[in-house]
Amino acid sequence: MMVQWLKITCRQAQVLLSQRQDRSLGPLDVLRLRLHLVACDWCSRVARQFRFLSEAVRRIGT
Amino acid sequence: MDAASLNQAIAELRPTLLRIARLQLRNDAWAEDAVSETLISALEGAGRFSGQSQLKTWVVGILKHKIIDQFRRGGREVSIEAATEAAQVETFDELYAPDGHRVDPPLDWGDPEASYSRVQFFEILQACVEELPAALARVFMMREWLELDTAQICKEIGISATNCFVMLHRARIRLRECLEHRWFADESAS
Repeated sequence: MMVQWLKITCRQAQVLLSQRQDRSLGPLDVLRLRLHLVACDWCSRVARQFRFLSEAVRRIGT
Repeated sequence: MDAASLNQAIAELRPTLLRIARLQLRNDAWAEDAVSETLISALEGAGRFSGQSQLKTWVVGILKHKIIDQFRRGGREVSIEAATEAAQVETFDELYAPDGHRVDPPLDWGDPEASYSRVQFFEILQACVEELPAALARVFMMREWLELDTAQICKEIGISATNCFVMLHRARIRLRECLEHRWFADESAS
């Protein structure tokens, strides 16, 4: 059983997925996100897609 | 490459540079200025072009510096627009149920990196960035294309770090949706 304060929603997870590309998350947020991603295939897809988006934009003009 | 053909090759990059500068600056006059300055610098410095990198990569590198200079000159206007945009509340209720879970699954994009070899992919990506509100597009492109960190972005355009994170998140959500609808949904259908 997961402790309640470690549980986050997809909405919250996707905020953290964006922020981790811009700053280091605190240890608690890292843990929350990791636990969410293990259980949620949809957010795992979004995680990969956000990374892809950064890489794709970097290639504009190359 | 002799000097004359190098100069011509630089001049021919103008339309490409202008599109990128517009995408980033979202102001046609500023984009024209940044590109003109880039071309002048490139032509003046053409003797130093070693040919080790591609000409386009070298000139785009100059453009990045000119765009940052242009942001500094446009400072006040840019920061007012950013502050206005940051004050908008965007909840993406169409994406999430009241309990915070996604309503529809995001599509599986398969092997998205395969799109790098498709010219049309970059057309759609740029069109998606063009559809973002100007202030969101600027912050997003500063982060992902100019590769500035958020502290530098905050300093350049005078917004708080929190607003910066919020705007970057909104830009990414919108771009993800746009690419999914306009590129990856068609890809998986074809």
